[in-house]
Amino acid sequence: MSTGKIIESGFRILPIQILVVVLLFGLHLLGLVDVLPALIIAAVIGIAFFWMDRRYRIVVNRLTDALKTARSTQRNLAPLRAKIAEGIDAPLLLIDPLRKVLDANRPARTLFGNNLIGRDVSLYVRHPDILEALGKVMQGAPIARLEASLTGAVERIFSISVSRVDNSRHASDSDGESTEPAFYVVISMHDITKMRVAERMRADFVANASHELRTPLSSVIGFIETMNGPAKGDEAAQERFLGIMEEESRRMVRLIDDLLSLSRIELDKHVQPKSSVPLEPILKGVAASLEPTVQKRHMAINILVPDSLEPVQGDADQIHQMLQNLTSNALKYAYEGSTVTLSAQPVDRIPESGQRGIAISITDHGPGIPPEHLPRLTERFYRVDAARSRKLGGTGLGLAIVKHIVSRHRGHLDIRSILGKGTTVTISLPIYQGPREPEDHP
Amino acid sequence: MTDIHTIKSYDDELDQLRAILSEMAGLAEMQLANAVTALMARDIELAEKAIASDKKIDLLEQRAEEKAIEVIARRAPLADDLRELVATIKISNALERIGDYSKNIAKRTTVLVNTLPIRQISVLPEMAQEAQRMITDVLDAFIQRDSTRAIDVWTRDERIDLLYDSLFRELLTYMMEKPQIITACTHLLFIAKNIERAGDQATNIAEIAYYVIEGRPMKDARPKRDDTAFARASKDEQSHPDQQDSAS
Ligand SMILES: Nc1ncnc2c1ncn2[C@@H]1O[C@H](COP(=O)(O)OP(=O)(O)OP(=O)(O)O)[C@@H](O)[C@H]1O
Ligand SMILES: [Mg+2]
Repeated sequence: MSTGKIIESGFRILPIQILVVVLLFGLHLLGLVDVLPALIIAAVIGIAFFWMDRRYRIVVNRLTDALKTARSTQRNLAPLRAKIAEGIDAPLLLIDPLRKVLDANRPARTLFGNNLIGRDVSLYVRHPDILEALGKVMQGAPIARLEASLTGAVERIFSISVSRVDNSRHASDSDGESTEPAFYVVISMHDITKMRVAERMRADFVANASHELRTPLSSVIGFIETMNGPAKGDEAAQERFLGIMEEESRRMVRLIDDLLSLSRIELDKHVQPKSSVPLEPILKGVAASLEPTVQKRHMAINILVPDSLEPVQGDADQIHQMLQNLTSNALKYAYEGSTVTLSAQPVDRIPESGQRGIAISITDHGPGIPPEHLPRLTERFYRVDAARSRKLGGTGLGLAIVKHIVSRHRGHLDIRSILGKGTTVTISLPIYQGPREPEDHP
Repeated sequence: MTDIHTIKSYDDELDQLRAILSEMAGLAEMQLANAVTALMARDIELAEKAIASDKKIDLLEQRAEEKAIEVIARRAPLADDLRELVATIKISNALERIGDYSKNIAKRTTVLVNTLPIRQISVLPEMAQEAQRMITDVLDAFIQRDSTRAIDVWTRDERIDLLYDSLFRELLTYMMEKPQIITACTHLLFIAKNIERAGDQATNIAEIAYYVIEGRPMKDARPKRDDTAFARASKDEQSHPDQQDSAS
């Protein structure tokens, strides 16, 4: 209740008081009432009116206020509902009977692009099962549910419902020439990628792990058998065998670690990491942590980074892991005594995503990789020379991990190699965009 | 069902045509995925489903063509607009071809299921996924008028070619080791070739899309790296998947 309203009601009271005074004064003139009591009565009645009227005004004002809010809430409910839809963390599409998109909430616009409103939904949603469900609902089915996986930079699996919402205002139009559609269709999509990928991976993991663990395990068993049989009592042989067995066991542990880390990355693949990551400290950290290998093979690491390099968007630990894998490959496979160069520079456009980014290159001078192997290097356990890689302690998962980290970051991986000259691996990662403000509806 | 408004804007009509193409692309993508999944899982039913879905694509191609011709006849469009309409016809032809390749893969699968199982070939699903992604992306490029995206798709075809080359070498060594599996391996080779062809059609669409958006052709020859003599020979010999289809 504002003071303005009280003052106003005070002014409104004046005519009543005047009326009473005039009335009493009139009676006095007629000689019916004495002056003094008349004035006192007039004042008392005036004050009483003033007081009552004020109370009354307050109540009325409150009532009208309540009414006004109620009415405006009703009027504002539609935009409020749109806000709810906008904030729901699942793509939602509102479609008319001509298959045109009437509205799309923010997650839907992120998924399908910003300009889908007003256009035919199948321009953006082209999965046959979704379109079939849509057809059924257009024909009168109240709801259809399905699961579909959408092709994209990373595969995403959705549990989808397509439901029909009848429009009551359509029927109330008397002249039959209604401009409002008879019904709307709402497509709502719920991301279940994580769940499905986890299921798939559990099976994969068991298959991969058991396959790859078999070789070292059977070699360990072989040595145990020899030590129990022909080499019983031969201390020199036993010591040597124990050494090999230790190495094989360590390899198995590393393999399991790598597989676990690969599974973890794969599980989060569709969630792009959002932190700001400056690259220079990471490059230096990677070089420092590989110092023992550098020393052992008489190599050198050269870091080339421009002075003001923008940070990238990502997950610092994973970026470290990926650069470490690549640099350790370079140190491992390049010629002994050569130099490995780590460099970073901005690029205007990352292939596929089209975003601005930083390209990080790891260049070595070594035997290189034959071209027919290039497209397959990022497969799990793929090695150019399996025996050699195994001897160097490799598990064949290094590049598979790199590939998954890159794709989780919506980045790009490029491997170029010239036989006898060397290899350059380039990773482009998107530049940090700042904490993203939710863009508003056009 | 769509002819509720009698006077539709030209843009609406074009969008309707594009919607048909988009639907075709969705079907083609799914058909390819089904065909290759059926092959990997030795699933005859899924293979047959992939074969059957080819009819739907054919029907849509016909619809796209009729619609485009009807619009041309009725509106007599000039320059840019005519180019766009002709492009939709071409794209629908290319998508229909992709459907044929997938059908061919599915047919070979139904034969392969009855032969000796060969070691899992992980390159095939990878090639198929890459092709699927190219199909989706190139349609998005066309619909959203994004010529840089069209160029992206066009360059990505090289990856499929490389995967094909490496698979070719791998299968060749298997065949030398084990002559009993030569027939099966040959089927696999043709299957891989079909996926590679699907990728080629996607680059083809990329070129058409680029031309429509930018009004000039995408220049620079595509970096082709097919250095195996046999691979080149098989390319000429297999340019029409249905004509020399040994699987049907
Ligand atoms: N810089 C390089 N120069 C030459 N060959 C390379 C280079 N990087 C990778 N390779 C080849 O690619 C293969 C796969 O590399 P990847 O890092 O995935 O596995 P790895 O090094 O064998 O094992 P790890 O899991 O321990 O890294 C290697 O076995 C090697 O043959
Ligand atoms: Mg490695």
